[in-house]
Amino acid sequence: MVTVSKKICMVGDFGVGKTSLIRRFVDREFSDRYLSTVGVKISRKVIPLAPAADIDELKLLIWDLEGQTKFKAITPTYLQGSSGVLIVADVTRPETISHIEDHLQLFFGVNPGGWVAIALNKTDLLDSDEKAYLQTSLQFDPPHILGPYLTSAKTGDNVDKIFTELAREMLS
Amino acid sequence: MPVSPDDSTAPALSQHSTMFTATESPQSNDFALGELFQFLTEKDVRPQGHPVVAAPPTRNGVKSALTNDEAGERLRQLLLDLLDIEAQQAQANPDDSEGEQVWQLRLRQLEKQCRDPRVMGQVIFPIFAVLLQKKIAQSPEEIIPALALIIDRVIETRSQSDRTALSKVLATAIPGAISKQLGEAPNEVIQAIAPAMGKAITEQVRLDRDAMVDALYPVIGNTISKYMGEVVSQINTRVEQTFSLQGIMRRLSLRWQGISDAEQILRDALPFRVQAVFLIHKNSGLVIAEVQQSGSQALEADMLAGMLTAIRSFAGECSTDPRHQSELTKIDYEDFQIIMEVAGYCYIAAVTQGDPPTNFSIKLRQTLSAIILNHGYGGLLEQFDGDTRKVPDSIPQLLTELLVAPTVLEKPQVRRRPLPVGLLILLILLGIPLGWVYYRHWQKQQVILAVDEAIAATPALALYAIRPQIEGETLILIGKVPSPDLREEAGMVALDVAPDLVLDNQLLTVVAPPDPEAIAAEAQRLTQSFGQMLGAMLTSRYDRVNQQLIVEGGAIAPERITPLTENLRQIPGVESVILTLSGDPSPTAQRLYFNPNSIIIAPQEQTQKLEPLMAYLQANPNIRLQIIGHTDTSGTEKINRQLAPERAQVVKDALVQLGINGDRLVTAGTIAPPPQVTESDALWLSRCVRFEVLN
Repeated sequence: MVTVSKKICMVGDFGVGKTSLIRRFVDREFSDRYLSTVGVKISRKVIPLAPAADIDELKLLIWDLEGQTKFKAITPTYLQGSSGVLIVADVTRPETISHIEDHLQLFFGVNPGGWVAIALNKTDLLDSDEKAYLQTSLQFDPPHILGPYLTSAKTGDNVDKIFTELAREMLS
Repeated sequence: MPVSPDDSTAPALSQHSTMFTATESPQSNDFALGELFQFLTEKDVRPQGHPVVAAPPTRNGVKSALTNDEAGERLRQLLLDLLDIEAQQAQANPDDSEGEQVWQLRLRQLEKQCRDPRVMGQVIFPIFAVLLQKKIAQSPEEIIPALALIIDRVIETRSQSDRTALSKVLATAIPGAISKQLGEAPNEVIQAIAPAMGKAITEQVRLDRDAMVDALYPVIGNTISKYMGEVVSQINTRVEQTFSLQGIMRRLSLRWQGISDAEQILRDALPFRVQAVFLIHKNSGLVIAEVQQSGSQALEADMLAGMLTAIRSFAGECSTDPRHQSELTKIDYEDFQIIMEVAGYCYIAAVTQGDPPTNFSIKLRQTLSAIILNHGYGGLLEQFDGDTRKVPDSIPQLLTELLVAPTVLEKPQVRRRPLPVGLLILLILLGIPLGWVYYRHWQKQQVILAVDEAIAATPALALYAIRPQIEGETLILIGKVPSPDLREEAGMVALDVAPDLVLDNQLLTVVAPPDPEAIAAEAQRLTQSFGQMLGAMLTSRYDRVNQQLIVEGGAIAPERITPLTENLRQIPGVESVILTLSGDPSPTAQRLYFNPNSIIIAPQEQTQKLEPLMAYLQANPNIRLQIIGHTDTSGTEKINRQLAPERAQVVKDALVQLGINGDRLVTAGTIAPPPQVTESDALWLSRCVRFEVLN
């Protein structure tokens, strides 16, 4: 049994749903209650890989970082040694989407070779037209960036997908 | 109580039976009751040794004269009596053959009545409980299966209809039941209760904290007492050991380390244990390697490593001084601690219990150093990407040592390997020149010793302190000898011993200082004779400390001062001469100078020298003078021999002319230069007349 461990971080403004995405992905749960993350919370999820691969499973250690507010920036030290990052924005709060660029710079500043997946979360609050518009309007070009994915921690839309695709890229 | 049919109880039976049927004889009635009893109780009350009388077949044609109610009532009465005499009934022997037919008939009637539930119900109702009791007493195993089928439903139904009543009934039984079960199968009770224990205690604490405290107080007190008792016993042992030699050595060692006795004893009482050791990648917090004690509950390495790394990052961020990066080295919990040793790209975290000994931190460092030294190259630690396949087995092995022997320090066996090579090189680098220097030094010492011995063996030199030295290829002789001959001899002796060396004879020729009193006497004698010669009263003092001769007295001619000083300095032991002369130079010390080939006294000579001389002679009438004429070497000897006395005569004549008695004056002449004047001096110094005082 070959297990490889990887560290990934969740980055984004406060209240965009980072913790909820992890809860959906790891615990298969969702709660409407908002609980602010203080400091760091670490979760673990083992993803079994295809039998053909030389690695049997991937152990994801997910660092849920305290969301960025205008009073407190994200601590770059926490991003060190992270193979990938999930940058999360809230589709109902445009300013959180505009901050994605800052988060990208922060992460690539610390880990130039890392992978990034971008999640536009809370899409359950949008109708299909709005979703389609979002999908086409936002494009991120640089290499090592996946997405944006339209996710919903509430419904589970694209949650597994975004994590597993990020994991796959990190292993490649 | 077995009773025969002829007993006194028989009439009573008869009475009852008459109530049953008036037409029957007492005997037949007895028989019928016995049968009935047998029937009702089946085989349960069967008397011993008596055959069972089976119920005869039913005959429909038999009719009873009694109504159902009456019959029921009678039967009931009959049964009541029957219960009192059960044994007699059983032993009743109905072997009377009379009226058997009538009995048969009765029996059939009874049989028929018994099949009527209502009649039977009436009959059995009053005695049902008793019957049941009897049945249970005699063969409970038959009752139990029957009741078992429904007993749960009975209880359930009852609990639903009247919970309180059931609770009340069961309340008395349950404690007993639990007690019994605890005795017989304690595990089952424990397993049943255990899950609720925690919650129960919590609830009880919530409801009445004080009661809980009171309840636990004796237990906790005893537990602590017991624990402390063990600790104290260990302390006693330690104290006893303190008086042994080992103990004293140990105490000295501890003192040296700055650990108090109490601290060490507590350390010993709470043994140190390493539960788990993790090697963690510093940046990502991923576990590179882990080892844990078997038997204890395994720690979640990934989560622990992640959180530790996050805490370390957090602590680092909070560091007050950004220039100085401080590391988190220890996290203390109440009963365990996490001790960390941090290197460049990874750190070791050890989960430990008990007070960590000093050696442990050294051991941690040693382990981390070994890991970095053996595996730090090639970026294995720096670029660890979570793939544990790349981690060599030796790393967990090193960590295991921390687990198994946390305080046994690695004696520098590993370090010894480079030591011989280093030492060898050092020895080669330092040893050879040192040896060479030492050898040369030894060689020199041998030569010096030989020279010393040779000098000591030479009688003329043995007395003097002569120190031979060797510098390079030169033999140097240092010291003092009294004569140049001895100096030369010393040099010869030294060269004989060390012919290869160049001699540097630095021996000083020093005359041994004569007796100061002798010096003073000699100086005094010379000074006086000089004074007479120069016509002055001179005295001298000898300063033995400074080896100075101080000459005092009347004036002498300036040109005589230097020769006087020179002469006095010839005295051995006189290093310098100080002249303290008063007034003008003595007139007798003056010399009158003449022009070449001339006997005419120059006017300034007359006034400056002759007249003062005249005055001196007049003042000292006892003094007689010899007047000596000199010539230079320029003229012929013949002329000069003539000229010299003439010059003296001229001066005598002049003095006589000035009033001095000629008897006091003697003349002489010589072609030799005057004293203190040599042929190399200026010629005029020799063309003179001088005076000598005659005694």
